Amino acid sequence: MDKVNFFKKLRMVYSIESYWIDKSILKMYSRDYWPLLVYKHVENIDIESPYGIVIPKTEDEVVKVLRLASEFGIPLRVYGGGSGVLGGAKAGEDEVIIDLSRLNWIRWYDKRSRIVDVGSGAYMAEVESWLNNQGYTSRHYPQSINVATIGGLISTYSSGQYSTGYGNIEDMILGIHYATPGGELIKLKPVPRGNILPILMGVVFGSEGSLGVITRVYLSVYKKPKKSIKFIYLIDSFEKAIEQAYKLIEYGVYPHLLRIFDEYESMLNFGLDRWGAVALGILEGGLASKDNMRLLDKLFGKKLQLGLFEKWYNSRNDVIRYIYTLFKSGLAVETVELSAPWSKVISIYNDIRSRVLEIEGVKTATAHIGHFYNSGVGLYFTLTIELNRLKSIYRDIWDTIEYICMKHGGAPLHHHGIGKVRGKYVREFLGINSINLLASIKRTIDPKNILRGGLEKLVQ
Amino acid sequence: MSIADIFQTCVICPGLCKLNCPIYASTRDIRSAPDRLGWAGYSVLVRNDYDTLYNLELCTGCGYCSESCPIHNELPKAIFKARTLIQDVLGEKIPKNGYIELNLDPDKEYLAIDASIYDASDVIKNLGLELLDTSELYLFKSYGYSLKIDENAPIFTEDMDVFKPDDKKIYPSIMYELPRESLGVYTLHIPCKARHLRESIIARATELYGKPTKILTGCSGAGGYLFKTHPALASIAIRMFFRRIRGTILTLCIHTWEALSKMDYKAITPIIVYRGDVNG
Repeated sequence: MDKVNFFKKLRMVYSIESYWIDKSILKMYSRDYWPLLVYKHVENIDIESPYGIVIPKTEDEVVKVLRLASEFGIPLRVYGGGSGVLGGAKAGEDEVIIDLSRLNWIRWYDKRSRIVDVGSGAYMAEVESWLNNQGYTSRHYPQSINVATIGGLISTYSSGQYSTGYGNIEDMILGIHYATPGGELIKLKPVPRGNILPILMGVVFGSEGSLGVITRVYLSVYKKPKKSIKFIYLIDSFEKAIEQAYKLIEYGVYPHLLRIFDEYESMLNFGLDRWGAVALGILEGGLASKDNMRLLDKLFGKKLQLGLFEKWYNSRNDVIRYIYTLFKSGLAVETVELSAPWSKVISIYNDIRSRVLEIEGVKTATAHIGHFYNSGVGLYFTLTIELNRLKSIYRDIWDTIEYICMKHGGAPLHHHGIGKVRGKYVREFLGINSINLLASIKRTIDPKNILRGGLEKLVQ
Repeated sequence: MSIADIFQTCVICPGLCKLNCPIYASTRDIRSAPDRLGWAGYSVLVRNDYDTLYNLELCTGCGYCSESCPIHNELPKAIFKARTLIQDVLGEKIPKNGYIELNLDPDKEYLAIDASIYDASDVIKNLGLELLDTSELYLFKSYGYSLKIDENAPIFTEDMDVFKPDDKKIYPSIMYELPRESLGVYTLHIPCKARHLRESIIARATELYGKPTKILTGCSGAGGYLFKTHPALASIAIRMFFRRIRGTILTLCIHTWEALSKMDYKAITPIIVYRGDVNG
């Protein structure tokens, strides 16, 4: 591993922007938003910086960086917006970060077919804003929309608030370019559908930058709907809300946005004077009909004031207010998302909630469901934990949640990725044969183990 | 909230304001992202870690980050206050008369370079010249803070090998940290210290590279006086404007320039000349 010559060649032969001495920039890449690192930072504990930074501006430069890294055996870690919550973008001190944030073009590829050509380093909020100005929308609204790049969202298999109606990130990408660790650019042009394509696209979907570096994305977008109906209801209990949502999906009505909160999160978010679970959502376009509203009334019952919906909608991404207030009271926040089949969702929720609260130091455990499928849901837990115990009980919390979920037949992950936390659970979930297959895929594509990331951790 | 609290909030927040920052949104320089400015402020004020002190100069004080901050943190105010505090704490030496006061020996030959000196320091040594540090180092030194150079960090000692006539590689080797603009369409920067040589500089640059697209006259020594009186303006001038254009510029003193000419060396960047007296 010859980092000196790697950087020399980068600058002097290829003129690619890179840093490896200047601590004023190296330290800015020292972490992502994994809570353990955030609170380490707050507590004045040193966090190691990466060895160096490379900032390519074009696809061609990305390819050159990968070829050089392969030639010199330099471990690279891909960095987009650095908003991951599981440490996936945290580089070790021997690793070099490849920051893709300057691959940030947004332009039409085929306007009639509603396909946009986006650089992988464009922030999702930039894409959405660019589209909105022209009367279009991506309808991919993760909570991290302001801080996540589209490449990062693909590599962690992202899900957004409108997933029930519009699908997840994998349903929106029609084509993609990525550079392999050996420095070949794979170019998959956008098409509505095609067999074989999922295999090639799948290399970079959810692999967290460990099999290829995404450089360009062809995104399927929508005309902004002219008609929409918002709704918000209060249901007696979370269990009943889940049951009614199940019936709604069974009717074949998938609201474009649908979210149900457990009783505790309902109280926190809406400050209601009555105990119960809130269900809210949006029906758009053809779904925004009186018939569907009647169905919702029938299933969910008591309507709440739409002002409460607006209040939630307008502040739904402002997590910092909540996190900071808790932090000042000595509490840290951790989130865990899971995938649960309809038949198990209630038992998974109840079992996890009661068991995780038994861990000394866990103060609250609340949940909501924001992603609904024909066969199940994406269940999202938010925990508050005593700051001074966070480190010591962190693994207990994750073990409890993930193993209970798997015991009941759920999947220990949904859309946050693997990062530095989930390797052991996903290994168990997938089983040894699947892991071996993944390992051989990794070895074939990246024999020198140049690209570090979630998969690299999983198969080691 | 105290300044430290404001910076601490940024350490906890993933940077919801980031895209509202006109500098970050256009440059994608992570050092200028408001949340990272919070990190920098936190490091300097709370951790006494000065590695990121320089980053605080990147804030122009426009306040757009506060508008999009969920708790309307007044980050720019905190940054400006931090700058003052740092000055107080570290014994800042802001020049009084509008220019940076440097004790120069008029008989000595200097080389002034507006780039990171990490690599260039060897080049300068090999030329047998003293380094006249400007811009970035000024900011550190004026705060009483000495930039630590990692003795073990490798330096491109072979740079001189590529410093040959028409060899364009000299450029990235010295200016590697800076974004470049293609030559041919270039901006010529004339340091205020050399403004009395304006005409000859323009003539030399035109001879070497054709007519500059734009000519800017400004202080290459980090705009010390402007920084004191109009910090926001100085930050814009130095960090955005100057940063952008200096990607094409290397400034050298007249002695070096003459020496290089005699040796038939030709740098790719326009050579700007001035004599030893930096106060012009």
